[in-house]
Amino acid sequence: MILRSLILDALVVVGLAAVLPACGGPAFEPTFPEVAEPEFSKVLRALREAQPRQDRAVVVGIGGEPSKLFAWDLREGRMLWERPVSAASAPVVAGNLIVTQESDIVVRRLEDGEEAFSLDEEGARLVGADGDGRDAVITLAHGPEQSPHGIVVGARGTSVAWTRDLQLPVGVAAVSNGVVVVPWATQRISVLDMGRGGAERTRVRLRDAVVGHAFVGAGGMYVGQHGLFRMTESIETGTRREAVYYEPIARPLPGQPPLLRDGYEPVPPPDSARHRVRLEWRVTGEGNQIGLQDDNLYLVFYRYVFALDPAADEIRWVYTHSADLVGASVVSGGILLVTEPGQVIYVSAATGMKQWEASLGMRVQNAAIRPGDFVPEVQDAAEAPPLSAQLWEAASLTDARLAGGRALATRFLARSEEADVTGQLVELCARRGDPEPVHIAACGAVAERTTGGDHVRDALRVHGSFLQGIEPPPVGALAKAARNMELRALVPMLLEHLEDPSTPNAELVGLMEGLGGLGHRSAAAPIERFLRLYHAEAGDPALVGAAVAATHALAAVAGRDAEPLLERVASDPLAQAPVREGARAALAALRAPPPQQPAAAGAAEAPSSPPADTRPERVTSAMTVQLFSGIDRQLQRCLPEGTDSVRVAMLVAPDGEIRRVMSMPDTVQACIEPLVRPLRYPATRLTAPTQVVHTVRRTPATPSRHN
Amino acid sequence: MRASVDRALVVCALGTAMGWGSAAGAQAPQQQATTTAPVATAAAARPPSPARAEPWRALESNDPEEIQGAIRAIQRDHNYRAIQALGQRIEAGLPPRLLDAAVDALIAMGRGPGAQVLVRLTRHRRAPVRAKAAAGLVATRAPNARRELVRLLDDPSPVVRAAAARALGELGAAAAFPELLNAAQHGVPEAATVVGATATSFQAARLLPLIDEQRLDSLAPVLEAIVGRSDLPERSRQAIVARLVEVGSPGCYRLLQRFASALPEGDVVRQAAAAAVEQHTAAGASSEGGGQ
Repeated sequence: MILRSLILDALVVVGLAAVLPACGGPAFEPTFPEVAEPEFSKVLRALREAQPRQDRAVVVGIGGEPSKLFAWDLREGRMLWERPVSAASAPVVAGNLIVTQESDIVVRRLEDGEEAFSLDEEGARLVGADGDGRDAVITLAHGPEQSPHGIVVGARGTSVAWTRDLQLPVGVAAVSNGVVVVPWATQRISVLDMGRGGAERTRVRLRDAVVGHAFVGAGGMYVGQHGLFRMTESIETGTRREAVYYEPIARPLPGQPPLLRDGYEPVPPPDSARHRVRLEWRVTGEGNQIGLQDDNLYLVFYRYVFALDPAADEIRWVYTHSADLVGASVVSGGILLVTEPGQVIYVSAATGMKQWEASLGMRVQNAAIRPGDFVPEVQDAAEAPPLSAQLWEAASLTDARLAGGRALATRFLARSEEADVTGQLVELCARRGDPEPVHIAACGAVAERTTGGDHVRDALRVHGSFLQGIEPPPVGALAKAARNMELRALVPMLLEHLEDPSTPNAELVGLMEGLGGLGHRSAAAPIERFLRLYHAEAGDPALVGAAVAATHALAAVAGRDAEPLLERVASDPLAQAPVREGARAALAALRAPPPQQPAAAGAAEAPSSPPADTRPERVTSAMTVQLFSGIDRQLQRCLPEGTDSVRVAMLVAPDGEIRRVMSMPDTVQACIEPLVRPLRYPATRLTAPTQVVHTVRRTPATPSRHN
Repeated sequence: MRASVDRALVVCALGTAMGWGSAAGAQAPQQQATTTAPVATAAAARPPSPARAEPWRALESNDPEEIQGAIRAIQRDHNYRAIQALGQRIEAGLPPRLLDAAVDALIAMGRGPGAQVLVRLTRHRRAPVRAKAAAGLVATRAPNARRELVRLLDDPSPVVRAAAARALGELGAAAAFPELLNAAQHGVPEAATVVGATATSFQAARLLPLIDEQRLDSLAPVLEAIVGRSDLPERSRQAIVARLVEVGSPGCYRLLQRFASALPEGDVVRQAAAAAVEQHTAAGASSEGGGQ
């Protein structure tokens, strides 16, 4: 490795040159003994005895035009310095140093921004850095991107003290009380001695978890990647169950940000979206307890901050800002945020209300906040609006990049049973120009509503009009909502939409399902006319799907009277094949004997009192979640590279059989269908098959270099 | 003889004979029987020759080629007694190609019982079918054609709106002038063409107050068509030029410029437009000169 120091004097250079050849000893090698005593206990003691860090509270960022690296003092509320920079990575604050990837890896003094030294190993990428007082450790990757080699650099004061090379990748290291903790090769942790040239003291191997980061937090040193281990005696077991371990629950989130960025990947560039879509938290607890500050896990998503319950799929509040949030750090009682226009704001952990604000005086591309123990002096916040109002505000924004966040807000908004929320969801669902995730979330939620019938009726009163510039309402979802609410009085309105060409064909499947579920006899003739007229129509899959749905809706509303037409369709060679199949399935369901209830003890003695029908009324999302939980991992393997989710649409028969499976995109149909087809839902009291849509999402992936 | 009557009954009552039984209740078969009775009587009174009866039979077929042949034969022979059967076959559901052919046949046979089938097809889910039905309403002289065509000016498909506007033009657009004008102002170019081509001088005068900066783009095709018409009184055409000068926006003068270059030499409206443009240009130059 070539080191080029710009400020070291000649003596230091000579001394360093003398040290370097001795660094590549056998200590930091794959064969070092694990948790060897007494060093292991000594290391833990040193970590326990570490004094709390007395870090200067700063915001270090990149911003302005032309681009500048700056440091801003949070306590004093003033800019410390600005330096021109052409940075390829976001800045990393490490003790008294700041590290950035530029043409070389440049290390500056936090105090004044002057360059301390730089690391010009060709092709080296900055992986991470940490500092404790005058000690700092920097980790780099070099060589091929898929299988990089690691470099660990120890610095004291403003100069390099030692380096260690490794033939395997290293993660983000940390230093505390002279103890350097280095994750490497995804499961190994080496502890180096800062004062003895980085000599390895002890080693731990995690057996059932990945480790890419080491960091110092409340209660000591932590390591982890998808979860957090505290470095205590129990870590020698190397297992999550026996060590002091914490992991928030997994849940689908927009962009699927990891708990910690991949510790083996280089620090992303300042303009990377990964800085704007991320999870923020601060570890708390002592001894065998690990928790998160204020019991909040924060999802930062461009302009949003969602405060999540780390232990449940719940949202506590959502803060919506007028501009992107380009830096975030959790402090006691809240979260500090840096905005793109250059504000530093503090949002209360309890309410999600902004309580403090300061100006950096320049636009900011990216910012790292190291708050230390800084907490702004805040004024009492205004009372927070209800969560549903916060979610509605978040869901209604129109910025195209926010689609994932809007969909998340919509999903949680739908959990409110308030009638007015139905109106809001209908409004979102009706915006056909909205990004697909929002539209799907909103319309899916409308279709599940059980309250707010007035909003459903009001929406159905509207018909599309080109001349008046009126979009047709989301009839399919509204029909399902009407079915859930048993609003049979709305059947005539639904039938008007069936006859109206301004109702998009894509709405007709839902409309038919709604009509079928409502089971009103007056719908029989219009559905019958529809089925006759369109059973042979080809070309538009939505219309074919509607004809299929019509077979089941007709069976549901007309019962055995539907048989003549269904028989004709089932045997008509001119009919579209799916429609024929649908007609056959509907006939089979009509002719199936009533389901046998299991004979209860003593049933023979009491034949006159048949057991109550315990079947659920319809397919619920809980059933789907439970059903898919068993094959989730296999389904995720079907997801193509670069795709985070796939939708699976199924036609589920009343007896629980999955009759049809369609994937969106259809390129994964061949992989998805064989996995889904054998599943079986519980039998329901439905009289016709129903469509169910499930989204398979990629959960945070184990790094491909997992040993 | 008996065999022919039976065949006619079978074909005319196609909806039930082919198994398209109604699930809506017991009334539907009765309705079908009632509507098909006159045809059956006619067939009994004057039975078709076997060659003429053959197309009716083939409509029952499941073979698309046979159905296509039957449709062609019905159209070729102008077999009006088959129209009802054809209409019922359409409503019993056909693949797109056959449906298009069947609708063409209904339209080609002109006035008759096919009109009501076409009215129903103006609500078909395929826009080309609606457009074809819209055009066919004129050919079949459907009694409620105007009302249906006005409705179709608001159709979600531009193809259907265009067909409806043209059909209204063919029907005589005077009665639908307000609706056509509204459609023209909302970006249905065919409606603008029809209004421009058919407006009376009285209707042209009603346009004048509508001319303003906001609506000029949508009205421009109408105005161009009107000032280009030699069958309208000169004063009606001149009034449009005068109104454009009165509004005086850049768009108005661009339109006047188009009049000045598109109308025939010697046309007084052309001369008036050219004079207005010239005067406006001179005034502009003078104002610029003054500014200097």
